Amino acid sequence: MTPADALSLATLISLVLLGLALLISVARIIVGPTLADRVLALDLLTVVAMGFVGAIAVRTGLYLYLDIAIALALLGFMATVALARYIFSRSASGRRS
Amino acid sequence: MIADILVYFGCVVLVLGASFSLVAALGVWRLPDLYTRMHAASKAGAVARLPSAVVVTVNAHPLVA
Repeated sequence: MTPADALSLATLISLVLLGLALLISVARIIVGPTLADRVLALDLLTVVAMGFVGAIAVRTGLYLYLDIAIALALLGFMATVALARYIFSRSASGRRS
Repeated sequence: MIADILVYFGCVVLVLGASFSLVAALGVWRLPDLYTRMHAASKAGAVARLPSAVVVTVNAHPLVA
């Protein structure tokens, strides 16, 4: 098995595993009993999507995809902080979720 | 020679990182409480983001690519 074949097989396997992880975290976002569960699953979804973008970059050899991963990391962190602030302000104003 | 070894190392690390993120997603799906789910998701943030970065770095190095 040449290194190119091994790299193609490994990226295919990891893309399948990361796709399963994406589906499971989307199911947790849909099911999740409270708002905090959904925020947590969105954070996990961002991390898994970063891994997916990295695997695609290795598979195609186009490392411009890393810009997407950097922007996705920044956006995921900002979304988690903003939703945490929203949960905090909502529970501080008297209404419990 | 060294480039081939680096590529095989990258394959192993990539599959390990992907399976770790699948295990973290299974933990977020299966664990009973918000705090235990938070524990699983933070493990994914630490252990699944690092191998992806390592593999991309190794494969984008001018010795390999």
